[in-house]
Amino acid sequence: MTHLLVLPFILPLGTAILLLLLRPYKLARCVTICISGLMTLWVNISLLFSIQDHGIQIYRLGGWAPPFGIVLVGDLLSGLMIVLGSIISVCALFYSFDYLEQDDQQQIFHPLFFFLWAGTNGAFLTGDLFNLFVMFEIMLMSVYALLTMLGDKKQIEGGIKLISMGLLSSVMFLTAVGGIYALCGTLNMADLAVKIKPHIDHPLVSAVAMLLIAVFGLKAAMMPMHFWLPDVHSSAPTPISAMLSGILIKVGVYALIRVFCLIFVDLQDYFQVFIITLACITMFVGGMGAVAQGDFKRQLAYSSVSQVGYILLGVGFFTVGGMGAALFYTISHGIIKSGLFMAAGFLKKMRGTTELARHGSMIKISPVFSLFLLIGVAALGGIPPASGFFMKFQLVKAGFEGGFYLPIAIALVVSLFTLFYLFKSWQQICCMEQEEAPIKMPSRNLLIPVGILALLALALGFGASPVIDLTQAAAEQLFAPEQYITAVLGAR
Amino acid sequence: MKILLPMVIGVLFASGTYLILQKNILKLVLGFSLLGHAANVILITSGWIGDGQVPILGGDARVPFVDPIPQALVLTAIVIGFAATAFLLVLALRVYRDFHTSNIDEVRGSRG
Amino acid sequence: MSTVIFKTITRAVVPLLMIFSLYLLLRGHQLPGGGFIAGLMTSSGILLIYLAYGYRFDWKHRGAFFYYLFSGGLALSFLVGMAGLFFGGTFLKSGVSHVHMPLINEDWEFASAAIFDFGVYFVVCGVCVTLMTLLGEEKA
Repeated sequence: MTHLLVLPFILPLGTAILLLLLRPYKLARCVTICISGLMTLWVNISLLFSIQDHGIQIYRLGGWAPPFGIVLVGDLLSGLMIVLGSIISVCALFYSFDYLEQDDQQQIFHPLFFFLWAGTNGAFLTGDLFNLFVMFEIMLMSVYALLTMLGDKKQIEGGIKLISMGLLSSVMFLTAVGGIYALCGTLNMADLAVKIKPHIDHPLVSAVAMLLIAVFGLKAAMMPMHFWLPDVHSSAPTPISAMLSGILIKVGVYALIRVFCLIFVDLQDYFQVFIITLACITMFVGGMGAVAQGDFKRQLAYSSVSQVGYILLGVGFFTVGGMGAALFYTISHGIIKSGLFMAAGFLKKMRGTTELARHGSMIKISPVFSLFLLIGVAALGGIPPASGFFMKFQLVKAGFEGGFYLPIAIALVVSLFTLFYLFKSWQQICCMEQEEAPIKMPSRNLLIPVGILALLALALGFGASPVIDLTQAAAEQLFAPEQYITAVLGAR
Repeated sequence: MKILLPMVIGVLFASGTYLILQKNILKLVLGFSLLGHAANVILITSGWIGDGQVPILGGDARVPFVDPIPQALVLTAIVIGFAATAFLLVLALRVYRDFHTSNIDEVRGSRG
Repeated sequence: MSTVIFKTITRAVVPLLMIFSLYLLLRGHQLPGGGFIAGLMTSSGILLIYLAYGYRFDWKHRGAFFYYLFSGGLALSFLVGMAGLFFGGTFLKSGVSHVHMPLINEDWEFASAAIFDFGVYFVVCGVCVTLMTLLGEEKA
């Protein structure tokens, strides 16, 4: 058995603990962060290739055999998600060195950040429902602390909202786990998929499915549960905003996909209308909210709500094409949106605010920044050479193939809103004359991660086809859950 | 026990829900911990059979044992709940210091 | 809080608490007990001392001790998990060995899971004491 599958979890975890111990030594901390950050990225990418070559892999924690012990399972979906997570994490880490100016902030930030990274990787890899809960909590617990770390009044408000949301969702998750354990007597997801088959008409199963939709929808900011997101994402320190919008809401989407494509396969038709309706409302509400905002970071946060609606729409089709489109959308949106948040952080460093009305003339001050922002804006708006066009195109194509004309029409209308508010903001930030307040030029290093993410968004557009093939393969794997079950439980 | 435990769960959920709808942040803390306990009791009941005995080595093999897994899960959930409650308490203290209030409605930062 | 009665009771109770918490920690491998509950009990003992004798919590000196207690405990637990990986098993694999103790002539069982529990004990001790002293700080 190869240990590659457990490394994405234990590398960040070990680094976090080492960073706690190395607190007084700044240089040692920086070296550790650089080495293990890049190593985790490399491990995650090689894990993706290994999954692509050898099929689904499992790892038995503690050496216990699957239905009894906890297993880590790596299929293409998990592989894609951890690679996305590590690209964003490495950029956010690099960004944080220059964004957090005081050393005592970095002392707290970096260990917690690595705990967060370990939690997300663990959540993507685990094959056990309760372990998923534990990974969620590792992740959320570090986010609570990271969010309120700098101690602004804004952040305290966001912190209360986030922690209330998190605690409520963990209560619901535990209730769902209790219900499903009482029915099936197992928590291993593959084993559950087998054992739930005879009970699928039991009312408890739909109740548990509904609870899980609420839990994961709360994390992914699905429409009636989206209220916490704008405050939290806009008040967090910028590297954390990038992580939250880039990868953390995707954890909720990932869990929803995993649960509905593995355990509740027979309930897909039952919940399809529900998920698609909520997805449409989510994108509409998010888009309308974003148009009305006068603050760039809040606008981006509302835009995240709207984009999650698109992803959920692709998931809600429950076809291979739709799922592949949703996965491509997830990857592409994660990269673009974290880049945009980092650009917003650059603006905040410069004038101390992200209010649109107080920014302007960026094209004279920093042409490079304007170019990166333009790439990001065009990509998210769906203008061809960048990846945003392909993500929307795939989704629309899948919708037409499945015959979902009304949701696609709504999606296209909302994408016009997206284009409108993003370009309006770009014009305000870059082209409008703005001379009044004195500006403090932040470190140019902050632009490097923004540039990397912008170039990745472009590269994902020019070289879209291999990534699209990969996401389609992942979607095909998701719609053949026997592969996953056989890999975990062995041939029967 | 068969009637008592569901009633306990119901009471815990009801009072927890009532408390988290209050404006005082300390009531919020208490409400969330009550809700957490309610979920824990649900987990315990999911592995509970009639007159089973405690699942410890060296028990009487003729009497059925209670399923130990939910108990292990509950232990984990309690630890997590403990950490979350601790964090929420620290946050309540910060709210009191920064805003000189314990009323959540007065904690405003994002929209002025 | 620091009345004579409370101080006297603390003197009597704290040693008992400490010994009982160690007992819980050691029996936790096979019987009810374990690192978490033992850590809570130890930290409640330390907090009783603080309450009765009002040690001003000096973050610069004593705080560092508890900080390294919990980070060291985390590292200990993590290393025990890693040991399973290095000695041919998987991550978190536990090992048991029976050692025949001289003098008392008994077989003692040493399990790596018990060392993991010690790590948990240190983490809980460090975190609880740090947390309670932070919450109890008299700073307006």
